[in-house]
Amino acid sequence: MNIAVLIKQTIDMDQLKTNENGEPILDNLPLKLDILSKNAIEAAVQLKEKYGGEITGISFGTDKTTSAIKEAYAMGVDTGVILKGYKKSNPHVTANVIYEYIKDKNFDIIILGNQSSDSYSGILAPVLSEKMKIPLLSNAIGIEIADKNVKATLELEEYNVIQTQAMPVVISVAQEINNPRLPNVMQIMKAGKKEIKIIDANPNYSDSPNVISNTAPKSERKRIIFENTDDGVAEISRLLRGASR
Amino acid sequence: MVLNYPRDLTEEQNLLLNSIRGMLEEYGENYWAKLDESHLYPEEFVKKFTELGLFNVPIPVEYGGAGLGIREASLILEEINASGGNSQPFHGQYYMSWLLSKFASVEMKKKLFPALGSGKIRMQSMGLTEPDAGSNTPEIKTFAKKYGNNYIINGQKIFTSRIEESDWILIVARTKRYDDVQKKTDGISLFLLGPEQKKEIEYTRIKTMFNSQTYQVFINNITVPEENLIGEENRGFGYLMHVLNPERILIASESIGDMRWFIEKSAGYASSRVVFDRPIGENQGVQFPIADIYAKMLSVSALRWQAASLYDSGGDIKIVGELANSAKYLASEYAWQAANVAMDTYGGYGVAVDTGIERKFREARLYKVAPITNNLVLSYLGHNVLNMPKSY
Repeated sequence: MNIAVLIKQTIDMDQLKTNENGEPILDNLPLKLDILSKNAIEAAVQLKEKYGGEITGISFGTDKTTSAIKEAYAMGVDTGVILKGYKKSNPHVTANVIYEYIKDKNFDIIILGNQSSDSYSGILAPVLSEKMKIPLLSNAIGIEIADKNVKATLELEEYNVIQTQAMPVVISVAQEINNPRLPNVMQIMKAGKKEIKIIDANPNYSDSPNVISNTAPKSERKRIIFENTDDGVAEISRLLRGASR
Repeated sequence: MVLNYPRDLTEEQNLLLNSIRGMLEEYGENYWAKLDESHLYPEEFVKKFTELGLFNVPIPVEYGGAGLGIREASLILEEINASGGNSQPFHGQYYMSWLLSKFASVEMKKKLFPALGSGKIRMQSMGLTEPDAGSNTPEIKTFAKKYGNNYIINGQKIFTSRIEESDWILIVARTKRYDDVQKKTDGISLFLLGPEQKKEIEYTRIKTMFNSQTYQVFINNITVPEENLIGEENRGFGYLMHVLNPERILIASESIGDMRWFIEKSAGYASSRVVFDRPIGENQGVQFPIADIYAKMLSVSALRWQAASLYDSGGDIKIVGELANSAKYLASEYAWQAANVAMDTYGGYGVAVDTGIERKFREARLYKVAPITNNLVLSYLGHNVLNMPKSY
């Protein structure tokens, strides 16, 4: 089985701060492998362990994306490719770049996170599926393979759907699908020595929308202080009951 | 959230940090607080530590290890302490591994290293200090006498850490009496004692002010085969530098981790605790001591890195000693200062067990006096580095 896993490197969202105008301060933030990409890699590696195959990790990134690919290697990805030229978040540009690379590679399964923790657009998977003219199994929390078919459990708001599709397919995974493994020291050491393919993607950003404003919403906390503990407990209990309904 | 700071690390070092951070998410402050109450060994944590291959860090590649250096080991232990944990219960195997890789026989390395890396055996105990010798190592009385192909060892040790939690231990003994050598550091030898010998050792646990596995040890007529001697007979004191310098660097790193934890806690509390209608951190008297510790943490982290890098690149062991001792001295003093700043910032809440401050406060205090007392570090720098008269 020929599996592609799409890998995104994002800024470390835990360390993101905003300036006085509420705009994100993006300078000098550490980069990390996006959490949903980790779920996608884990899903791919579990498929390989269960059914055999080869995994190609693909990232639209920059020279700095090597650390994300090395982490993917340490988790079990076989071949890593960086399509160089990423400048900003625009899922249509990303989809074009990825499509150009994978269209003639005959992947049976293309796995990616259902969205990424920086932009949360969720656009890449459906656009890629449309470009490839292959089905999309969206928000997967379970994947099995039988013959040439993929049987995926897809999480909807009220219930789950089990869907079977003939390969090739695009699968976007939800975070609930697995707990990504922690690479151990020896895997990290091996990963550091593996070659990474770097290809110039020459993306075309000319149609990108212009961002007029990007600010954090202001939230005023109520800061209600109860001098009498019993009153406070009663109020908290009332609010919790309301929230659980 | 664990406090971060600017560091120039390689991609592999960052990956290592990612893995250890992922593991630490499963072991929050409650885990360590419960162990502190019961004074039990962090067995589950050490098992996970082993599964992540972290004991492979110092083991040479030719014996199946990762062949990494003190820099990587120091990153790991620092991060554990910075998360609110305590690396003291398992750090011993790191510096023992460097001693083995430098001086043990190939047969011994083949026998021990794969088992240490996989967690089949543990070797995290070194019997050096004695009731009558303390910091004055050359005056140890434990004696190993050779009979045929064996040594018979007799003596007593104190504050020997983790003997119960180790399968193999290192015993420092004299093979020539103190009075029979001209240079007082001559005549000392290092012996590895395996499970067979350990069975015959008697030991009792010493109760301490925090969760620490340390013992009083009695060695009576224990037979050790000569192949368990590390390196050459009588030259052990020189070899010890390859345990003690890594130990100093690693302990400095744990203190740096403690500093990060105290800073994170103090800065967070100072920003959120409102008294007289404003956060207490608006007061310079509260804010500046925390910022002061942060600057000190950055400086001692750089010194520790310099010491670790020099050791890893095989630099002059005397210069490593100068840097490693200075790093251990400053880091332990600053960590103790940070502990007190946290206590002052938290006010009465600092002594409440649930905030965790008092636990880390107790833990941070140890490294001002162990594994070497800070006064002796100053004596060493004054005499051996600055050529002033010997003060002890």
